[in-house]
Amino acid sequence: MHRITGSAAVGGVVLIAAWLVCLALGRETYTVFLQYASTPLGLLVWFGLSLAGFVHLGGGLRHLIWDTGASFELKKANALTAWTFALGIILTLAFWAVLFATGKVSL
Amino acid sequence: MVELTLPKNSQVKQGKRYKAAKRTKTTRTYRIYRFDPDTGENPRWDTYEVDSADHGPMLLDSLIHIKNSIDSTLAFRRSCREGICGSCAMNIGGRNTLACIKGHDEFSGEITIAPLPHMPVVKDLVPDLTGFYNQYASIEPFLQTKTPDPEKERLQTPKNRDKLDGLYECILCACCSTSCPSYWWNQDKYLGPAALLQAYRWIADSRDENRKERLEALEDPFKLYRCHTIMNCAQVCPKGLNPAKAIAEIKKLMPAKG
Repeated sequence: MHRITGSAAVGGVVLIAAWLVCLALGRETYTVFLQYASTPLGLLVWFGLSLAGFVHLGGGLRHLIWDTGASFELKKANALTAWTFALGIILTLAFWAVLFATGKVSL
Repeated sequence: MVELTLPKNSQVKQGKRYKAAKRTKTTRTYRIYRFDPDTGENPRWDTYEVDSADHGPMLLDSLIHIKNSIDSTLAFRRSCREGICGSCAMNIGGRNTLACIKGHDEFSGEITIAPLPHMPVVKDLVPDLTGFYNQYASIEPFLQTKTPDPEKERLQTPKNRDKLDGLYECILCACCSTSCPSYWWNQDKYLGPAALLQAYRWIADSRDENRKERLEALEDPFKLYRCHTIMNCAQVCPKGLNPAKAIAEIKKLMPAKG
Protein backbone atom coordinates (compact mmCIF):
# COMPACT_ATOMS: atom_id res chain seq x y z
CA MET A 1 0.00 0.00 0.00
CA HIS A 2 2.89 2.31 0.83
CA ARG A 3 4.26 1.65 -2.65
CA ILE A 4 0.90 2.06 -4.40
CA THR A 5 0.22 5.40 -2.71
CA GLY A 6 3.83 6.39 -3.41
CA SER A 7 3.39 5.64 -7.11
CA ALA A 8 0.06 7.49 -7.15
CA ALA A 9 1.74 10.46 -5.53
CA VAL A 10 4.44 10.44 -8.23
CA GLY A 11 1.63 10.48 -10.83
CA GLY A 12 0.20 13.42 -8.89
CA VAL A 13 3.48 15.28 -9.24
CA VAL A 14 2.87 15.33 -13.01
CA LEU A 15 -0.54 16.89 -12.39
CA ILE A 16 0.93 19.50 -10.08
CA ALA A 17 3.64 20.19 -12.65
CA ALA A 18 0.91 20.65 -15.28
CA TRP A 19 -0.79 23.05 -12.89
CA LEU A 20 2.39 25.11 -12.55
CA VAL A 21 3.08 25.02 -16.31
CA CYS A 22 -0.46 26.29 -17.00
CA LEU A 23 0.10 29.01 -14.43
CA ALA A 24 3.34 30.00 -16.15
CA LEU A 25 1.66 30.03 -19.58
CA GLY A 26 -0.62 32.84 -18.51
CA ARG A 27 -4.12 33.66 -17.39
CA GLU A 28 -6.00 32.03 -20.30
CA THR A 29 -4.37 28.62 -20.09
CA TYR A 30 -4.67 28.69 -16.33
CA THR A 31 -8.40 29.41 -16.54
CA VAL A 32 -8.85 26.41 -18.85
CA PHE A 33 -6.90 24.23 -16.40
CA LEU A 34 -9.00 25.45 -13.49
CA GLN A 35 -12.20 24.69 -15.42
CA TYR A 36 -11.15 21.06 -15.84
CA ALA A 37 -9.63 20.77 -12.38
CA SER A 38 -12.74 22.01 -10.60
CA THR A 39 -15.23 19.67 -12.29
CA PRO A 40 -16.51 16.93 -9.93
CA LEU A 41 -14.27 14.45 -11.76
CA GLY A 42 -11.32 16.79 -11.39
CA LEU A 43 -12.03 17.23 -7.72
CA LEU A 44 -12.26 13.46 -7.31
CA VAL A 45 -8.78 13.16 -8.82
CA TRP A 46 -7.42 15.82 -6.45
CA PHE A 47 -9.16 14.09 -3.56
CA GLY A 48 -7.59 10.76 -4.52
CA LEU A 49 -4.23 12.43 -4.88
CA SER A 50 -4.44 14.04 -1.45
CA LEU A 51 -5.54 10.72 0.07
CA ALA A 52 -2.58 8.94 -1.55
CA GLY A 53 -0.28 11.71 -0.32
CA PHE A 54 -1.50 11.63 3.25
CA VAL A 55 -1.60 7.83 3.52
CA HIS A 56 1.94 7.79 2.12
CA LEU A 57 2.91 10.40 4.70
CA GLY A 58 1.49 8.14 7.40
CA GLY A 59 3.43 5.21 5.98
CA GLY A 60 6.58 7.32 5.98
CA LEU A 61 6.09 8.17 9.66
CA ARG A 62 5.62 4.46 10.36
CA HIS A 63 8.93 3.70 8.64
CA LEU A 64 10.56 6.47 10.68
CA ILE A 65 9.36 4.78 13.87
CA TRP A 66 10.55 1.39 12.60
CA ASP A 67 13.95 2.88 11.79
CA THR A 68 14.44 3.51 15.49
CA GLY A 69 13.95 -0.22 16.10
CA ALA A 70 10.62 0.35 17.86
CA SER A 71 7.20 -1.26 17.33
CA PHE A 72 8.38 -4.39 15.55
CA GLU A 73 6.35 -6.78 17.70
CA LEU A 74 3.65 -8.17 15.41
CA LYS A 75 0.67 -6.78 17.30
CA LYS A 76 2.23 -3.34 17.61
CA ALA A 77 3.37 -3.34 13.99
CA ASN A 78 -0.11 -4.29 12.76
CA ALA A 79 -1.72 -1.66 14.98
CA LEU A 80 0.77 0.92 13.72
CA THR A 81 -0.18 0.08 10.15
CA ALA A 82 -3.87 0.49 10.97
CA TRP A 83 -3.02 3.88 12.48
CA THR A 84 -1.18 5.06 9.36
CA PHE A 85 -4.37 4.46 7.34
CA ALA A 86 -6.49 6.17 9.98
CA LEU A 87 -4.09 9.12 10.05
CA GLY A 88 -4.08 9.37 6.24
CA ILE A 89 -7.87 9.37 6.06
CA ILE A 90 -8.28 11.82 8.94
CA LEU A 91 -5.73 14.25 7.47
CA THR A 92 -7.35 14.02 4.03
CA LEU A 93 -10.83 14.69 5.38
CA ALA A 94 -9.52 17.55 7.51
CA PHE A 95 -7.69 19.01 4.51
CA TRP A 96 -10.83 18.99 2.35
CA ALA A 97 -13.05 20.16 5.19
CA VAL A 98 -10.80 23.22 5.51
CA LEU A 99 -10.84 23.78 1.72
CA PHE A 100 -14.63 23.62 1.59
CA ALA A 101 -15.12 25.61 4.78
CA THR A 102 -12.92 28.44 3.56
CA GLY A 103 -14.66 28.42 0.19
CA LYS A 104 -11.47 27.62 -1.76
CA VAL A 105 -13.34 24.81 -3.53
CA SER A 106 -17.02 24.09 -4.07
CA LEU A 107 -19.01 21.52 -5.98
CA MET B 1 12.89 -7.89 -18.26
CA VAL B 2 9.67 -8.01 -16.29
CA GLU B 3 7.82 -11.28 -16.69
CA LEU B 4 4.16 -11.04 -15.83
CA THR B 5 3.23 -14.57 -16.81
CA LEU B 6 4.91 -17.89 -16.18
CA PRO B 7 6.87 -19.43 -19.05
CA LYS B 8 4.81 -22.06 -20.90
CA ASN B 9 6.61 -25.01 -19.35
CA SER B 10 6.03 -23.66 -15.82
CA GLN B 11 2.30 -23.07 -16.04
CA VAL B 12 0.52 -25.22 -13.50
CA LYS B 13 -2.10 -27.51 -15.03
CA GLN B 14 -5.03 -29.28 -13.45
CA GLY B 15 -3.88 -32.74 -12.35
CA LYS B 16 -5.43 -35.95 -11.09
CA ARG B 17 -8.13 -36.27 -8.48
CA TYR B 18 -7.84 -39.08 -5.96
CA LYS B 19 -11.36 -39.55 -4.66
CA ALA B 20 -12.15 -40.90 -1.24
CA ALA B 21 -13.96 -44.25 -1.29
CA LYS B 22 -16.66 -42.72 0.87
CA ARG B 23 -16.94 -39.05 1.80
CA THR B 24 -17.64 -38.47 5.48
CA LYS B 25 -17.78 -35.46 7.77
CA THR B 26 -14.07 -35.80 8.48
CA THR B 27 -13.01 -35.96 4.81
CA ARG B 28 -10.63 -33.16 3.88
CA THR B 29 -9.56 -32.14 0.39
CA TYR B 30 -5.90 -31.30 -0.31
CA ARG B 31 -4.77 -29.55 -3.46
CA ILE B 32 -1.08 -30.31 -3.80
CA TYR B 33 1.52 -28.92 -6.21
CA ARG B 34 3.19 -31.70 -8.19
CA PHE B 35 6.26 -31.41 -10.38
CA ASP B 36 8.59 -34.09 -11.62
CA PRO B 37 11.56 -32.78 -13.66
CA ASP B 38 12.20 -36.24 -15.14
CA THR B 39 8.93 -36.41 -17.07
CA GLY B 40 9.34 -33.07 -18.85
CA GLU B 41 5.69 -32.35 -18.07
CA ASN B 42 4.31 -29.12 -16.67
CA PRO B 43 3.65 -28.86 -12.94
CA ARG B 44 0.09 -29.72 -11.92
CA TRP B 45 -2.33 -29.49 -9.02
CA ASP B 46 -3.35 -32.94 -7.80
CA THR B 47 -6.35 -33.24 -5.53
CA TYR B 48 -6.54 -35.77 -2.73
CA GLU B 49 -9.61 -36.54 -0.67
CA VAL B 50 -8.49 -37.88 2.68
CA ASP B 51 -10.41 -38.94 5.76
CA SER B 52 -8.67 -37.10 8.60
CA ALA B 53 -9.87 -39.80 11.00
CA ASP B 54 -7.25 -42.03 9.36
CA HIS B 55 -4.24 -40.02 10.50
CA GLY B 56 -2.86 -37.63 13.12
CA PRO B 57 -3.84 -33.99 13.65
CA MET B 58 -1.05 -32.22 11.80
CA LEU B 59 -0.69 -31.47 8.09
CA LEU B 60 2.49 -33.50 8.02
CA ASP B 61 0.39 -36.46 9.19
CA SER B 62 -1.92 -35.82 6.24
CA LEU B 63 1.01 -35.74 3.81
CA ILE B 64 2.57 -38.90 5.24
CA HIS B 65 -0.81 -40.60 5.03
CA ILE B 66 -1.19 -39.59 1.39
CA LYS B 67 2.30 -40.88 0.58
CA ASN B 68 1.79 -44.14 2.47
CA SER B 69 -1.72 -45.03 1.41
CA ILE B 70 -2.77 -43.06 -1.65
CA ASP B 71 0.10 -41.89 -3.84
CA SER B 72 3.65 -42.99 -3.07
CA THR B 73 5.09 -40.69 -5.77
CA LEU B 74 4.49 -37.58 -3.66
CA ALA B 75 7.82 -36.06 -2.57
CA PHE B 76 8.35 -33.82 0.45
CA ARG B 77 10.99 -33.30 3.13
CA ARG B 78 10.36 -34.14 6.76
CA SER B 79 12.33 -35.29 9.72
CA CYS B 80 11.69 -34.33 13.33
CA ARG B 81 7.88 -33.88 13.12
CA GLU B 82 8.03 -31.42 16.05
CA GLY B 83 9.02 -28.06 14.61
CA ILE B 84 12.72 -28.12 15.36
CA CYS B 85 14.40 -29.30 12.16
CA GLY B 86 12.69 -27.02 9.66
CA SER B 87 12.59 -29.67 6.92
CA CYS B 88 8.86 -29.63 6.23
CA ALA B 89 8.63 -25.89 5.52
CA MET B 90 6.12 -25.33 2.74
CA ASN B 91 3.36 -23.00 1.65
CA ILE B 92 0.09 -24.14 3.17
CA GLY B 93 -3.12 -22.27 2.56
CA GLY B 94 -1.11 -19.43 1.04
CA ARG B 95 1.24 -19.00 4.00
CA ASN B 96 4.70 -20.41 4.62
CA THR B 97 4.79 -22.65 7.66
CA LEU B 98 5.95 -26.00 8.98
CA ALA B 99 3.59 -28.84 8.07
CA CYS B 100 4.43 -30.66 11.30
CA ILE B 101 3.18 -27.98 13.68
CA LYS B 102 0.17 -26.82 11.69
CA GLY B 103 -3.07 -28.66 12.31
CA HIS B 104 -5.40 -29.48 9.42
CA ASP B 105 -8.26 -28.28 11.61
CA GLU B 106 -6.77 -24.75 11.45
CA PHE B 107 -8.01 -24.49 7.87
CA SER B 108 -11.49 -24.50 6.42
CA GLY B 109 -12.43 -26.02 3.06
CA GLU B 110 -9.86 -27.21 0.56
CA ILE B 111 -6.25 -26.94 1.73
CA THR B 112 -3.70 -25.85 -0.85
CA ILE B 113 -0.13 -27.07 -0.35
CA ALA B 114 2.75 -25.78 -2.49
CA PRO B 115 6.52 -25.66 -2.14
CA LEU B 116 8.15 -22.57 -0.62
CA PRO B 117 7.49 -19.75 -3.10
CA HIS B 118 9.92 -18.47 -5.67
CA MET B 119 12.57 -21.14 -5.25
CA PRO B 120 13.65 -23.67 -7.88
CA VAL B 121 11.65 -26.87 -7.38
CA VAL B 122 13.55 -30.15 -7.16
CA LYS B 123 10.39 -32.25 -7.06
CA ASP B 124 6.83 -31.69 -5.80
CA LEU B 125 7.15 -29.95 -2.41
CA VAL B 126 10.95 -30.06 -2.31
CA PRO B 127 12.59 -26.70 -3.10
CA ASP B 128 16.24 -26.19 -3.93
CA LEU B 129 17.67 -24.25 -0.97
CA THR B 130 21.32 -24.27 -2.09
CA GLY B 131 21.44 -20.49 -2.46
CA PHE B 132 19.77 -20.03 0.91
CA TYR B 133 22.35 -22.21 2.67
CA ASN B 134 25.21 -20.47 0.85
CA GLN B 135 23.92 -17.15 2.13
CA TYR B 136 23.87 -18.53 5.66
CA ALA B 137 27.48 -19.68 5.23
CA SER B 138 28.43 -16.25 3.88
CA ILE B 139 27.61 -14.50 7.17
CA GLU B 140 30.16 -16.78 8.90
CA PRO B 141 27.85 -18.18 11.57
CA PHE B 142 30.43 -19.02 14.21
CA LEU B 143 32.16 -17.22 17.07
CA GLN B 144 35.13 -15.17 15.91
CA THR B 145 37.70 -13.79 18.32
CA LYS B 146 40.98 -11.91 18.24
CA THR B 147 42.09 -12.30 21.83
CA PRO B 148 43.90 -15.52 22.76
CA ASP B 149 41.68 -18.36 23.89
CA PRO B 150 41.11 -18.36 27.65
CA GLU B 151 41.81 -21.50 29.64
CA LYS B 152 38.14 -22.19 30.15
CA GLU B 153 35.14 -21.19 28.04
CA ARG B 154 34.42 -17.57 27.09
CA LEU B 155 31.97 -16.30 29.65
CA GLN B 156 28.96 -14.10 29.17
CA THR B 157 26.80 -12.28 31.71
CA PRO B 158 23.18 -13.41 31.92
CA LYS B 159 22.20 -9.95 30.67
CA ASN B 160 24.34 -10.32 27.56
CA ARG B 161 23.06 -13.83 27.06
CA ASP B 162 19.50 -12.47 27.11
CA LYS B 163 20.33 -10.37 24.04
CA LEU B 164 20.47 -13.59 22.00
CA ASP B 165 16.93 -14.60 22.88
CA GLY B 166 14.72 -14.41 19.82
CA LEU B 167 17.78 -14.92 17.61
CA TYR B 168 19.35 -18.26 18.47
CA GLU B 169 16.04 -20.14 18.12
CA CYS B 170 16.04 -19.84 14.31
CA ILE B 171 15.91 -23.29 12.69
CA LEU B 172 16.70 -22.11 9.14
CA CYS B 173 13.47 -23.47 7.68
CA ALA B 174 13.46 -20.62 5.09
CA CYS B 175 9.80 -19.75 5.69
CA CYS B 176 10.74 -16.08 6.24
CA SER B 177 13.14 -15.59 3.34
CA THR B 178 10.82 -17.23 0.82
CA SER B 179 7.87 -15.12 2.01
CA CYS B 180 9.79 -11.90 1.37
CA PRO B 181 9.04 -10.08 -1.93
CA SER B 182 12.47 -8.42 -1.80
CA TYR B 183 13.99 -11.87 -1.56
CA TRP B 184 11.84 -13.13 -4.45
CA TRP B 185 13.11 -10.41 -6.79
CA ASN B 186 16.75 -10.24 -5.62
CA GLN B 187 17.64 -13.52 -3.95
CA ASP B 188 20.94 -13.61 -5.79
CA LYS B 189 22.10 -10.40 -4.08
CA TYR B 190 19.90 -9.80 -1.03
CA LEU B 191 20.76 -12.05 1.91
CA GLY B 192 17.14 -12.35 3.06
CA PRO B 193 15.65 -12.29 6.56
CA ALA B 194 16.94 -15.68 7.77
CA ALA B 195 20.61 -15.02 6.96
CA LEU B 196 20.36 -11.46 8.32
CA LEU B 197 18.76 -12.61 11.57
CA GLN B 198 21.65 -15.04 11.93
CA ALA B 199 24.13 -12.29 11.07
CA TYR B 200 22.66 -10.19 13.88
CA ARG B 201 22.78 -13.19 16.21
CA TRP B 202 26.61 -13.01 15.97
CA ILE B 203 26.80 -9.22 15.89
CA ALA B 204 24.78 -9.11 19.12
CA ASP B 205 26.92 -11.75 20.84
CA SER B 206 29.08 -10.11 23.54
CA ARG B 207 31.77 -12.78 23.05
CA ASP B 208 32.25 -12.13 19.34
CA GLU B 209 35.12 -9.76 18.56
CA ASN B 210 34.54 -9.24 14.85
CA ARG B 211 31.48 -7.03 15.06
CA LYS B 212 33.04 -4.29 12.92
CA GLU B 213 34.10 -6.72 10.18
CA ARG B 214 30.67 -8.35 10.24
CA LEU B 215 28.94 -4.99 9.83
CA GLU B 216 31.32 -3.97 7.06
CA ALA B 217 30.57 -7.17 5.18
CA LEU B 218 26.85 -6.33 5.27
CA GLU B 219 27.23 -2.69 4.22
CA ASP B 220 25.93 -3.15 0.69
CA PRO B 221 22.94 -1.76 -1.21
CA PHE B 222 21.62 -5.28 -1.76
CA LYS B 223 22.84 -7.64 0.98
CA LEU B 224 21.17 -5.69 3.79
CA TYR B 225 19.32 -2.71 2.41
CA ARG B 226 16.86 -4.58 0.18
CA CYS B 227 14.85 -5.03 3.38
CA HIS B 228 11.97 -2.56 3.14
CA THR B 229 10.27 -3.64 6.37
CA ILE B 230 7.51 -5.52 4.57
CA MET B 231 7.17 -7.68 7.70
CA ASN B 232 6.14 -10.91 5.95
CA CYS B 233 9.11 -12.58 7.64
CA ALA B 234 7.81 -11.88 11.14
CA GLN B 235 4.24 -12.71 10.10
CA VAL B 236 5.10 -16.22 8.94
CA CYS B 237 7.96 -17.32 11.22
CA PRO B 238 6.78 -20.64 12.70
CA LYS B 239 9.02 -20.05 15.72
CA GLY B 240 7.55 -16.61 16.37
CA LEU B 241 10.83 -14.80 15.75
CA ASN B 242 11.18 -11.33 14.29
CA PRO B 243 13.81 -11.09 11.53
CA ALA B 244 12.54 -7.61 10.58
CA LYS B 245 13.51 -6.30 14.02
CA ALA B 246 16.94 -7.95 13.82
CA ILE B 247 17.52 -6.32 10.44
CA ALA B 248 16.45 -2.93 11.84
CA GLU B 249 18.96 -3.39 14.67
CA ILE B 250 21.73 -4.07 12.15
CA LYS B 251 20.77 -0.93 10.21
CA LYS B 252 20.87 1.06 13.45
CA LEU B 253 24.42 -0.12 14.19
CA MET B 254 25.72 0.86 10.73
CA PRO B 255 26.40 4.60 11.30
CA ALA B 256 28.26 3.94 14.57
CA LYS B 257 30.39 1.06 13.39
CA GLY B 258 33.37 3.44 12.89
